[in-house]
Amino acid sequence: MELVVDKINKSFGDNHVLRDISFSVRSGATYGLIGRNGSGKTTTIRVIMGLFPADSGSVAIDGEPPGRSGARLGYLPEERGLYPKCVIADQMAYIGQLRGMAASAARRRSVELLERLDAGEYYKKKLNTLSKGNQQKIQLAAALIDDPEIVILDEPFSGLDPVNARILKELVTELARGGRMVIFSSHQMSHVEEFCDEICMIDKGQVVLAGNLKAIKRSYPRNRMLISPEDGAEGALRGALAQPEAGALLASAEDTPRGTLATLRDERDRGRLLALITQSGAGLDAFSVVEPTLEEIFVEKAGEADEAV
Amino acid sequence: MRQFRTVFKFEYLNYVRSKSYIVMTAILLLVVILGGSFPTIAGLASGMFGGRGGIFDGIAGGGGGGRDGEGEGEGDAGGDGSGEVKKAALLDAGGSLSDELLESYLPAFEWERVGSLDGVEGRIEGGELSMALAVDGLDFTLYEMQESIAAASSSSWTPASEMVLAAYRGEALAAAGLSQPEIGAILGAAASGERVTVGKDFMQNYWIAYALVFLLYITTIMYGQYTLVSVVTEKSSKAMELLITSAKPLRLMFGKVFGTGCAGLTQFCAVMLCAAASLGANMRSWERLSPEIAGIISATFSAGIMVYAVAFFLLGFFSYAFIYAAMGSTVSRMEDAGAVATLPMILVVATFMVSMAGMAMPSAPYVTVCSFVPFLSPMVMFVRVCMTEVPLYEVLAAIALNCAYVFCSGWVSAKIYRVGVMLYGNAPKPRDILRYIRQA
Repeated sequence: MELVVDKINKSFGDNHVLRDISFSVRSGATYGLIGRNGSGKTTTIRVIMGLFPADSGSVAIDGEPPGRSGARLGYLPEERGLYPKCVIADQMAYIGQLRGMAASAARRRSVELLERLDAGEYYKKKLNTLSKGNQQKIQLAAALIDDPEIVILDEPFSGLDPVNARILKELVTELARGGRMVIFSSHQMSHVEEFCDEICMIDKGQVVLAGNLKAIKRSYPRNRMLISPEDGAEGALRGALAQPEAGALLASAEDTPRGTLATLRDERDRGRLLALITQSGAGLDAFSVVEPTLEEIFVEKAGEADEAV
Repeated sequence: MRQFRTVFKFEYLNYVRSKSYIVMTAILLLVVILGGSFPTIAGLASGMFGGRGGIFDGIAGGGGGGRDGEGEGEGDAGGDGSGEVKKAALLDAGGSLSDELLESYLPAFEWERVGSLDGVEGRIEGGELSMALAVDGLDFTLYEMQESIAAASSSSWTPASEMVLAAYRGEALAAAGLSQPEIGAILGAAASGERVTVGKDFMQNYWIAYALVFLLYITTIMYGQYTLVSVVTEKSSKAMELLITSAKPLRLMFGKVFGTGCAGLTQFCAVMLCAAASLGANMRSWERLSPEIAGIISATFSAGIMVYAVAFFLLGFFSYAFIYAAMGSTVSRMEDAGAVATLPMILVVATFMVSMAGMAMPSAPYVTVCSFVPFLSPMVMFVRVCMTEVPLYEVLAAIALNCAYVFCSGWVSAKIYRVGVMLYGNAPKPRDILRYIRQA
């Protein structure tokens, strides 16, 4: 199954919110929509979900509009909420039935999901008696009630404590391994980086970067090196890097808690730098390439977009 | 259809299981049971407390007033039936009013004959006197305070007027040479007649129409508001986005409106059935209390009136519920719900006002016309069928027109709803709502 978003545009009055947004996702992938607040992530998701139509462009699942494709879509909206005064079992069954399940099957699946999310004890409780984080788990369970083929989660980690965030990550990983397509939006790059295969970075309604996350990272120069000295070799390393030959190779060097972060002028000089250090007698625990973090890439791309404006 | 059924069932069960619904229904049923058993309870209470001033005695006795205590309708003539003797001043320059006449026509008063009316108004205002009467031949002036509707309606004007006329006639007949027994026979003669009401009894049906139109008005507003609150709650609790990605907005709206309507109908029918049972069980007490009220009760709970009441309740509810749902979809905060409820509220109140005005003259041409105007017809046609003879085809035509209106209002409301449910922010202006209709 493939979801293709092709050049969608959306305006609200004079506000052009989405400009030619395009990307595609296949089953089994975990796809991250990232961007600043107000960049257009939620609007993109709402257009995919058919909550409102795009002014131009199209969304297709295996070549068909989502409504006609027959694919089941599970959706966790950014604006979370269910019926506060209603028993969770009843509203889960209600959502399941709205999605075409039999009441008994919906109830069975609700129990399974809540158990999986470590929230089984809340099955017979009213929603407004739970904490915000637990309410969010109920809403996630509601989004997954009919075992959807495409799961779209809008800012799923907001409001979750580390333990619940871990449970959610495991569930998302399971879903992707089970062949489900998982799309989620976030402005917390660490979550995206942790388990997304592909990303689409949106800024001011435009795609500024899209593709496989590993490939994106590899496309950046591999000139940043983390050099960790053995215990007691810190002085030797400092001396080695202070040599004029090393200075000719390095653009910068700074101490970090994990070691020295050195940036080469040319990534091909990694061998020469290593040779200089070892010749100086400094023992090393690690000498490795440091890839840019998603956050760094995001800040760089967002900065470029700001400059372009 | 399956989604509609699911939403309908969920909404219906949510209502009938909610604490507020159960408590409200219980209170209504209790009120209806107690109201229906009122004469029995009052009779038991009067028996327990020795029967003095009991309700049956008070009403059946008519207060003991009037000439020879003859007419129930004259029960207010002599006073308020409390048995208290009140003081009154009389200026009778010609000496035409005998003590017997005063006792006969205004028995509740202890009369003080005065030579002038100086200071009388002050004594009345001060509470020393209840009233004063100045008589000169056929001319008379009555002084009394009217501090309440009850006091105004129990004015001594009519018995005083009759008394002055009787005195004048008595003197004239005596001057013509008739003996006192002859004069007494002439003045005391009473006509005996019987009124045969052809068609519907206006006054009896007035009260039936009044009660049921008021009930329709209250229930239309109440269940309309329920629908509005239900939609706004889904938006304010942010459940809407999940719902409309799970079901078609139209099915959500129609399921919600029908579910609410059915919950309302359940409550309506429960109250009416309970009222019928309670009144039926206590009918003998009601007959003893007042045959007129018993007649109104029997006529109200006739099968025909009940069928019309249910039919017009449903029509009334659906005439406004879709508008309430559509209006509710345009706001996202409960604080804004009141503002958007104004439009349907104005329509309901206008309908109620037309119905109330129409009850005074149910055969007036404007009432006939209004009874076919869709959103007015549930109440106005109901007034007509309660109070006049309306051909069945006219009732069916009004129902058909109203059903067509309900369909159109559902269609337009669905358009507003579809766009409105996705809107968050400030309450919309009327031009925004028109834009939503065009957008959908």
